[in-house]
Amino acid sequence: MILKPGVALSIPDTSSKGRSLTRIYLRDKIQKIILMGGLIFLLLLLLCISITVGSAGLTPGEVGMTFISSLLGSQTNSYSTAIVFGLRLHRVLFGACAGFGLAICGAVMQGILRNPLASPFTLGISSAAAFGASIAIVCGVGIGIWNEGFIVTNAFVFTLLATMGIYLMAKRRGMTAETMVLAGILIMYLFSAMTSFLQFFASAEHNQEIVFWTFGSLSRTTWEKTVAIFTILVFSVPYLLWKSWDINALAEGDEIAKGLGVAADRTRALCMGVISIITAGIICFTGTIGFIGLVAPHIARMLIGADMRYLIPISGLIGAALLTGADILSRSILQDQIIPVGIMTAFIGIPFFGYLFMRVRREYW
Amino acid sequence: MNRLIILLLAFVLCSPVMAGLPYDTNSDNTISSDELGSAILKNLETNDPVSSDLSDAAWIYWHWNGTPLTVTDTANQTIILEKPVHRLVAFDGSTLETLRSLNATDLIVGVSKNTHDEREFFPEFQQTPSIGTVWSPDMEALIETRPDTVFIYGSISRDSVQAIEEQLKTLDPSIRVLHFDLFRPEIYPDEVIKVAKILGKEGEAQAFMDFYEPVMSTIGERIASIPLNERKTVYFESWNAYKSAAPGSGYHEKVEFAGGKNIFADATNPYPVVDPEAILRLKPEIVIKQVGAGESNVGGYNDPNAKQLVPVYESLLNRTGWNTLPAIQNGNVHVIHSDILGSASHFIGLEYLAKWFYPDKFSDIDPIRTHIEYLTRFQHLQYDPETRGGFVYP
Repeated sequence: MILKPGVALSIPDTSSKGRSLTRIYLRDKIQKIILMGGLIFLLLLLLCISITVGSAGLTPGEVGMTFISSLLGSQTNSYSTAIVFGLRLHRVLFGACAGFGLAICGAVMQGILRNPLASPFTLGISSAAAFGASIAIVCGVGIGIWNEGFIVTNAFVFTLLATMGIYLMAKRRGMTAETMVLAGILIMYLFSAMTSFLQFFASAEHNQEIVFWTFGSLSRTTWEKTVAIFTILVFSVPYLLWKSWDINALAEGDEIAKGLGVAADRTRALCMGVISIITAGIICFTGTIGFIGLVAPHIARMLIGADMRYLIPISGLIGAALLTGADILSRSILQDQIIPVGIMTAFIGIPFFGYLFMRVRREYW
Repeated sequence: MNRLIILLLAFVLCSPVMAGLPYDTNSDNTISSDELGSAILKNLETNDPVSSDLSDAAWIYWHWNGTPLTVTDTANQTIILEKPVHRLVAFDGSTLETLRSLNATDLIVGVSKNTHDEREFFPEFQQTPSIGTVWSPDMEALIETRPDTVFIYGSISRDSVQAIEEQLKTLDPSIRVLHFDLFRPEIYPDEVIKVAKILGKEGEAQAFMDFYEPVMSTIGERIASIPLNERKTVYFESWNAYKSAAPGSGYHEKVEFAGGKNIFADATNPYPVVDPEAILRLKPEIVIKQVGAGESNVGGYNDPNAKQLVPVYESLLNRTGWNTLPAIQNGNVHVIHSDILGSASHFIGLEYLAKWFYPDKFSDIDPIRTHIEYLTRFQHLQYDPETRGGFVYP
């Protein structure tokens, strides 16, 4: 039987110490649930703001009327319908899903690798995606959707290849957190160098395109892409939540995890696989948005500690809120132009992270 | 590296000493008829083969009135030329195209890497050594061509151009670097005249200008008669989706020259990536999509027919919300290739733009005729843009 953290505390105890611990546990649990509720409310608020922001000049009232008209099935204005449903809504939802997905990937990665710097960005997965996209940009033929399809497919495939590379190297040297981190760093440098090599030979236009891709952007979202990433999350998040006990054990070290009956190597490999699919699914459409996966889990850990049962969803909600907030800014700063959201995530996340880092006293890592 | 050192030594040893005009015996910086005459007579007396200095002196006497030529190029650099150009490297396609219009391609010893990709438009340069590109030059290959003159961009890619110049100064200071854009309509005639003077091709330049200037002045004059508030609003999109053009870019200038009112004329940078919503709000009457590089690397002279432009056109019609745009509703969406808009052939593209913007005012203008005449008379190409290549659609 696997001893799961927290289970012992829920066993009814007649002693006063036991009752006190139960109260503390329940209070802690309620606080986390309230925080989760607050974050959901914040995210919904940001989504509502985001849907009303844009260059089209629609007032919040007009956006609301467009929604109501569509829901009631009455005659709608084709202009506002095109703006709200054709351009904004899928972008806003995709942004929230992408932020959620990248943040939970970072949280799980930091947990299974016991490393606060682990994220899809720092361990080479994003570099591999950038290389895949660069190959498609430089060597790609075709136009419009076909060219984009080539970029997306390449980015996705190379992301999975990078994970496989990390897995194979780590498997040969022992599937520990250290070997996986080192293998990840190796992969990151390898793919970064290969991308630079391609850029050296690429034309100015292709280089510009590669640079723009690596900024990370939500400009090319569609309903199909939003459904695709939502589907990936629907299947992967429950699995990661189900594994959260095991990840908690892994975070304490392999010996403790094995002592608790957790198959450390297998769990780590499976979680890496799931993370890479989520990351690949997101960044193949957006380009590299690196900051969310690193910082959202840290912010969550500062607020609620390291229990993965809460850390995964709360990191996800913070990531979704951060990316949605960044997207609002990216569409509001310059008139009629959109700054790539990958740039804005750092601007919006760093002050918040810095504030918590300086103010929160608890030892969170 | 050793190869480079050997090349450099060989080059320095073989280079003529650049010390003023040849046969300027009284050092007054002018080759007079007496000086040239006595040099020719002396040569006839000795029965020696005509030296390169003597033929240079005769060339300078004939084309530059016997004096050094002082040129201020597009980078505002003043250079004094005391020898004619014999071996020329052209760093970009527009320069090469212009040199072909001036019948000066026999001087070319090195071309840009991109020239080799344009096998239909530059068939005669497919075997000419490549010297890389402005952004990634191959300096060894450049020196190996033993140029005496290099033509390079005047107003764009300044950092890359400067780096090449500095390297050339170190490798061989006798190589003359002259800066010309040769693709910007506002300075193109002036640049062509200067280049022609340098190369002694004034007659060819005059013939070309007699063809070029009426095309441009017809557009300019007819557009000038249209009041500003009656001009058509235009959304111009470059190779990548939603990448437009604003003041500071050549494409903005071209749209305005052809009588369009750029809907993103207030943007803060020359090549803004615009919000798709803004296009729907600003409701352009005309949409111009440029292809030829980046995401839309289709069409051009290498395209066997115009079919590659059709999917681009259709993807524009199917963009979200674009059915609300007047441009779509009135069938005013056009795809154009950068070969005839962004290069030395810009006047052909400008004719198309003006005709698309104001078909009534330009009903007598046929851009395809201009294109054919240009290719036949000045580019010396047997290429029919009516049946080959993808330049415009529809």
